[in-house]
Formats: sequence, C-alpha cells, structure tokens
Amino acid sequence: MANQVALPRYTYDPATGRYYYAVGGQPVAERRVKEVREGQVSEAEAALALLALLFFEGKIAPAVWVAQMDTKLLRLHLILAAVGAGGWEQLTEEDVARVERRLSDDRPRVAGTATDVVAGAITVAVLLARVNVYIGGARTQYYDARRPRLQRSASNMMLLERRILGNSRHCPDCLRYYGMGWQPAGTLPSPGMDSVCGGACRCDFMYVEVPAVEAHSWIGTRR
Amino acid sequence: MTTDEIIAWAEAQVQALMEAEVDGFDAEATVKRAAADLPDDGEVLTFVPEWGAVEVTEAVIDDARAEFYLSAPPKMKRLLDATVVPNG
Repeated sequence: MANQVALPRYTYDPATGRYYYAVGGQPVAERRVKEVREGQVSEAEAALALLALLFFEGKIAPAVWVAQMDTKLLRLHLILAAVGAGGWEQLTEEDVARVERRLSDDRPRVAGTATDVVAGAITVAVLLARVNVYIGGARTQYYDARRPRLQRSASNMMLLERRILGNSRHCPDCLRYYGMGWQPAGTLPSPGMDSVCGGACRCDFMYVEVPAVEAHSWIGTRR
Repeated sequence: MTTDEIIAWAEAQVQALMEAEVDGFDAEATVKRAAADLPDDGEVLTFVPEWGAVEVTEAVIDDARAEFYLSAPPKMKRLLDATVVPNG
C-alpha cells in the first residue's frame, strides 16, 4: 500500500477547451494529449495488423474478424471522440451520433474487405492498408470533437490553425494544406478529410492565439 | 456443421483471437456474436456477416472506458474522467 502512487486526476474547462491537472490547476501540455491520442492509434494499428494477418492466413474466420474489427473500431472511435471532447462527461449526443454514423458507413466496407480476402482478391498489403484507413477514420473523431470546442481567450484575440505533416507518406492535398500555413481556426479540413489519403492521413494541427489586429501578418505564413 | 463441430470451431476461434492478444473475455464475446449469425449451412470459412447501423449504448461506452484504462499510460489513465471545472 505504501508504494502505491495516486494516479493524477484531471479537469476540463469548456471555456478554453483544455485539460488541467486537478491538483495545482496547471494546464496539461498539448503534447501530452497528443501522445494519448497517437498512443491509442498506434495500439490499434498494432493490434489490428496482427488480427488482419491471422485472418489473411486463415486462422481467424471472416465472421470473427469482422466482429472483432467492429468491436475494436467502435471503442477507438469513442475513445478518440472523448479525448477531443474533454472526457466522457463531455461527449454530446452530436458526438455520439457522429461515431454511430461514421462506423455505420465503415461496416459495409469492412465486410467488403472480408469478402475480398475470402475471394483471394486482395493482397495482405492491401488488407493492411485498408485496416490503416479504418483506423484513420476513427482518428477524425478527435478533431471533429475538439475543433468546435476550441475557444479564443478574449474577443480581441484570434485563434489560428495550420496543418503539420505527420510521419507518413503525404498526398498532394495534405501538402497543399500544409503549404497554406496559418489560417483562421476552423478553416482547414481535419486530417483524414477532404484529402486523397483519407483515413491513411496522420497529419495534425498546430494552434496559436494572436491579437486579432496582428492576424493578417500570420495568415499564409508558417512562422 | 453439427453442434459439436460449431462448438469446437468456436473454441478454436477464441484461442486464435487470444493468440492475437485479444482479451479472453472479448474473444469469447466476439466469437459468440459471430456464431449467432452463422447461416444454417454453417460455412464458417466464407461467411461474412452484414450488420446494420451502429448503436452506441451505455454498455458500449463502458467497454470503451475499460479499454482506455487498460491501454493508456498510467499517468494519463484518468484523463477522460476529467470533470468540468471552469479554470478561470
């Protein structure tokens, strides 16, 4: 008992859209939240890649693969939406409806992939790439939950965003969004949306808050 | 497939999922769900289920919470339990 360490508790302030340590009230660094998000994505990538390989090798039946993918993706969608929303308590009906909608759209795609594997119509590389896309679809939940909740601190300030390239191959769309530099928050598409790479996208956002009167000197730059 | 064959198949699938590092409880639930929709001919090698719209229930959210607790780094495990407090 003496060696147990209490796990940190957190709060969330909707006015700022940020997490804080419950003890001390310091804001949680954005990179820590990013690590949580990407940690979930990486864990899913590893788990579902192994599952896909065993399915491809015939050790897991198609119906079992589809069922396990469904379970894992649903949880991932919800977790990432919750990370973006500020926690489980902050998930709204709209957030949940978005999860239901996106996963309902993905269900026939996963079933179609299973059928393609059964028919021998795709290679293991294509299977793994598709699994990666499904995971990327879950990743968009984070951005769609978070972005509407971002707030500027005062009426004379302006929140800017820019796309940054992730550690993966980049499509022309993502390179173009990166090239647009700083833009008013809410302007640029979320990673995984409106891009050829789709769910394979692993780009991210950076944010900065500047006095509104200075915003023009930031727009279009990558300063 | 006979009932005994389906049972044997299900057990083998649970084992295969656990070898894929799926939690035992999840593995059994997954195989049970897959088996529930097997057609009468029991063609387990080719059958692909087609399910309708997703519904998120409280039980589903609880499962996602449990998954997060298991997978998040220790210091971040309680992040998603954040309570809303205006930080001023």
